Amino acid sequence: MTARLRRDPAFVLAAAILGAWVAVALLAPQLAPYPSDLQLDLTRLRESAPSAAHWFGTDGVSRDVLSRLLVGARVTLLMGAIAVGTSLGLGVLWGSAAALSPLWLDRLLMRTIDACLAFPRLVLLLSVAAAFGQLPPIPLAVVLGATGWFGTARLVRAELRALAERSWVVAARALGAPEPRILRRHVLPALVGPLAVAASLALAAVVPLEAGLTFLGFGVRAPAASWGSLLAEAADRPDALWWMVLFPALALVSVVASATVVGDRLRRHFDLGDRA
Amino acid sequence: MGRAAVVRLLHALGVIAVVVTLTFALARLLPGDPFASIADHPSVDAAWRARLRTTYGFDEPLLAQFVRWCGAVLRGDLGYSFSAQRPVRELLAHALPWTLLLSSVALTVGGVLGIALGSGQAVRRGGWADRLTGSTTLVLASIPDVVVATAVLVLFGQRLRWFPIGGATGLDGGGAGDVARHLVLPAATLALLVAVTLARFHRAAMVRGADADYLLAARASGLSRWRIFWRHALPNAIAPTLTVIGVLLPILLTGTIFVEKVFAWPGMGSVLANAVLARDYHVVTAVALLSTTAVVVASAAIDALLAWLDPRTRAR
Amino acid sequence: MTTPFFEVRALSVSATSATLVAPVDFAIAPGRSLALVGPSGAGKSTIARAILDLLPRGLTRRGSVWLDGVAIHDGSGPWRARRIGALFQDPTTALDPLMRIGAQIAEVVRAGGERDHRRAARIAIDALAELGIDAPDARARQYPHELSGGQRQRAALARALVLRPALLIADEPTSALDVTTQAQFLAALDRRRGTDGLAVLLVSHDLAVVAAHAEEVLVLAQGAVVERGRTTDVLRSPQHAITRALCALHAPSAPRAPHHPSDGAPIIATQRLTKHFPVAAGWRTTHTALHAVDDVTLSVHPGEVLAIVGESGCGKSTFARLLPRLLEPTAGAIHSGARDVRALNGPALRRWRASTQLLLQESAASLDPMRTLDDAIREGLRLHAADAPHTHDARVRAAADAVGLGRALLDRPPAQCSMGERQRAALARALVVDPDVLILDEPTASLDAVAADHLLAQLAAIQCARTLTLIVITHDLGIVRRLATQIAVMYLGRVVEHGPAAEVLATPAHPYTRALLDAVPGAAGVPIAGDVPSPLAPPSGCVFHPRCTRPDRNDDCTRRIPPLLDIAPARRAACWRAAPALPETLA
Repeated sequence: MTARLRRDPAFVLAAAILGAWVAVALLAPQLAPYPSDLQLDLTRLRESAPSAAHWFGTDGVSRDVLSRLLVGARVTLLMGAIAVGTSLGLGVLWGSAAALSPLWLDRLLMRTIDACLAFPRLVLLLSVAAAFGQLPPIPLAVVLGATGWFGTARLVRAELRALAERSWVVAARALGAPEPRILRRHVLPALVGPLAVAASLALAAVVPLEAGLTFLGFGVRAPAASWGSLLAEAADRPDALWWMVLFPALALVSVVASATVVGDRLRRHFDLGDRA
Repeated sequence: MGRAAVVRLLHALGVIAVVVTLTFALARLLPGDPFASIADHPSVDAAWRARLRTTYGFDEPLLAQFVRWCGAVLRGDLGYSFSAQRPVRELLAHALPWTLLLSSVALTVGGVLGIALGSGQAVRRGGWADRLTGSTTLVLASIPDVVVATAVLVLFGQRLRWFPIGGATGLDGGGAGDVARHLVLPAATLALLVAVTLARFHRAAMVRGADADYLLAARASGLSRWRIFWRHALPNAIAPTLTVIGVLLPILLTGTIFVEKVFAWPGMGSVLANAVLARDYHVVTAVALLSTTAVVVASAAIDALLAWLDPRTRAR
Repeated sequence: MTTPFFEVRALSVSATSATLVAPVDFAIAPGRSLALVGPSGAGKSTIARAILDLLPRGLTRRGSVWLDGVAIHDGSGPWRARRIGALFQDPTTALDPLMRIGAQIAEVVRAGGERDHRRAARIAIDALAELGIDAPDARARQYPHELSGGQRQRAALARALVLRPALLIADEPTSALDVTTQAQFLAALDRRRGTDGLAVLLVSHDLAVVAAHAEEVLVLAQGAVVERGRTTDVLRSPQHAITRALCALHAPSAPRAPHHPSDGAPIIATQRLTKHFPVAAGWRTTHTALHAVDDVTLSVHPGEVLAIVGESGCGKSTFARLLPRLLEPTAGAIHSGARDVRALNGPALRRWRASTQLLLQESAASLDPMRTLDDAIREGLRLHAADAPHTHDARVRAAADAVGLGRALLDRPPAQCSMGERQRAALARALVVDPDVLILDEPTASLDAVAADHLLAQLAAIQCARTLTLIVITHDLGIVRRLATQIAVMYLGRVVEHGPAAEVLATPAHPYTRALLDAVPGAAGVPIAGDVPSPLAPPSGCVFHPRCTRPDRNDDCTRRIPPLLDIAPARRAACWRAAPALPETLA
């Protein structure tokens, strides 16, 4: 079944891009041509356009943009991973609680999810920002995840409910298998696909959201540097400092578009239709 | 109005009740209260803050506060904005029409554009036009909303100076024409964001339905491609697309906030962003409550419309 | 007529890399019918679509299609649409769900040149009436979901024929219909052949339908014609292996005699077994009950093969799930020997389920997609076998051999196997735990004729070798003839007739059994009218009375529910008029 995905060029390309970024994030200090925080020459190298020595140019305090972009991948992807992990965890917990609950509790839990889904995510995030002020990257990532798990909860509940009626689950019951074993061997493994879809789409949602928050001044603050903060540094004069906008934006697009493609193809592969 | 519509309405009321509860919980669970943020103000000492807390009932049990808060919300009393020095209701009453104007124009233009793009892609699926549109919408949908907005602002507003930017009116506060000119760039940005998202979903909906036997039969019985598209393929794909619009509404609202902030459009998004910077509690809570309620009402309306459009649910 | 008026010359279809259909020639004269038959993937539908110019993107057509001496080419769309009607398989999507039936037909009339809207609507209603659809005015104003599957397919036929085409291309038009509605549909089609001289190109996998409704047949396999000729000749002496396999499924075989005399203790006995599903309905969600299984008393003896026959919605699948208690009965009892099955729980219930294996209707989908076939078959052994795990390998292989599943397949996940292979793996999984009873729910529903024939042959062999007790749920009387020793006929949740297969098939006592036999393609009888009523609101009295054609039916039939009573030794029927010797005390 994975053979079909492996033959899909769009999926392969997207997965390769995501894999490459993970490798870059892990090896960033080794790959970066300059230390990412080093102010190279405040007098002569401020805001210099791309050149042979500095492929992606330098920023307002003469730091190498390429190096900052590579190291920024660490912050952006780590935050993305933490946010996705948080939202999957909460979604699985809530969704499976609802699926296994008696009807009245299930209804209550799902009504709550309906209400949460109606909250614009940015409003929730800004409420938290109003309460806490500036958050360090990792707690911010947790908050990002904590505002985005409602759809996952709904998906997990729907999948668990549907799986209980799937014919291979009924067949295992007909074979005389005890319920815990059915859950362990036939239900939970089948949840992996939908969760992979949810994870890719969550990543595609959370990375631009972090960038947007940072851009507005509520996200990642110096000294930490994410792609969003690189963009934000050029926010005042994006046309004059085009290299400080273009390259981080391209990096963002490559990750988000790849995650979207991976999620879309997985959804089609696992035949989830509109459910995820 | 069929029964399905009434059921949807009751369901929406239930969801709104949960929304009100959650908003209250959000406001109370997060650390600090409205008076913590005015702590820096030199004229406010500890005793004065304590008196404020008593006046506003913050020392009562949580349940009593909740009941009081619900009562206030029902009366339309959303609290007082300490940063703007006026009641929250006045603040929002001023901002709401601007947001409604911006988002309704953007949703209409973007919705039509998205459906047109998605339909065009589905009709020519697999061809180069489909692929090109598909990759373009994918890339555009992947750029953070703020970056798109900033790019539009700088390119068309500052470089080319095609349209005025910053606020909804010029300094002299001109008439409808002036507002319309100011509206173009933010509305176009938001419409673009709506269209690229919607096009992908609508294309998928059209493609999913493309194998139905009735479409084959329609082609075999000599109906024109145009008629098959307008009378059969599009109406059957519109329902899933409308559903998606309902689901996307909160995401579109997030886009609205970003766009308003970037273009300094005087709507709810700008009010919210400024309130967050000033840590103005009542405003944040009120915006959360209002925007979420709007989403619930709008998606209930969409559901009712869907139930009415589909004869399978209309009868019931 | 010397020149056939519809002719296909050297028609072939190819994708970029492969040829899907090798060049094929055939001709159909007015009023005649030609059938394309073959296993799935043989290219039957591709030919039909190539003629209609409806090939999916990427496929190209070569050769020519002639109608009345005129070659049809890409530009002749409107003309072709008037002369060739088309009908497809799936009644659920045959009509646009968002448009009234009448409007959909009138739309075709207008595309055919009629300008006047009122006249087009009138023609649409006439087209419905012509096909024997009752209350055509009312039907025209209805939406497709308000019609039953059979009515919908006939409305789709009305649309296909409204322009009075010379040729109808029907792609598996009845494979989703029940036997009685299939008979109604085919009768309507045959009438139009007689009255209008309509020529029909029938695509089908069902040789029984073809035998009764097509004069000529083309057998296809893997995109090429392997055999052709007059239907009667081809069916009498099939030459090609594929044709022989197709024929075998519906070969008129004598029903089997009971394997053992039906005395001794039954292996499964139900008493007044009932299952109602609550259905939320109405404003305050008052619950009405869906009567899935109503008051069923049946017993099965060791070694018997009981076929439970009926149309969709008659409750036979629910009954199948009640026996291993995958569903809890609402009322009634299940006994096995002295054991009260309803009292079992925990490990005892799981052992009961193992000894009464159920093969689900969609059993090809009943294999966990994440696990290999070997793993699936082995699961039962892990759960129930007392012997050491190292002996399991041999038992898995033995089970695979018994169902004819190649050992090389065992390491594959289900997605890499054909439907037939998956079905056999599901059968092996059921057999490996040595059940006493095997319940098969529509075992051939997802298989093409060749795979179905293969499976039935294996089932018969296994049943003889192990003296297994089989309960076969089916709507297909061909399967009944091949396997069953006993028959129970169900209608709307009730057993209406029960007895030895040979006797029931030869002399049906209940009018519904007779209607089922008459609906078999090629049977001489007149198909009964109407559809199976909703199990939410079954008719009063005898549930069959609204469709009953017995001349001697009376008020009893509409007022009182007939009990299942002995009418002859070992035969029972639930009909007031079938048991003339009814004791007065009971009546």
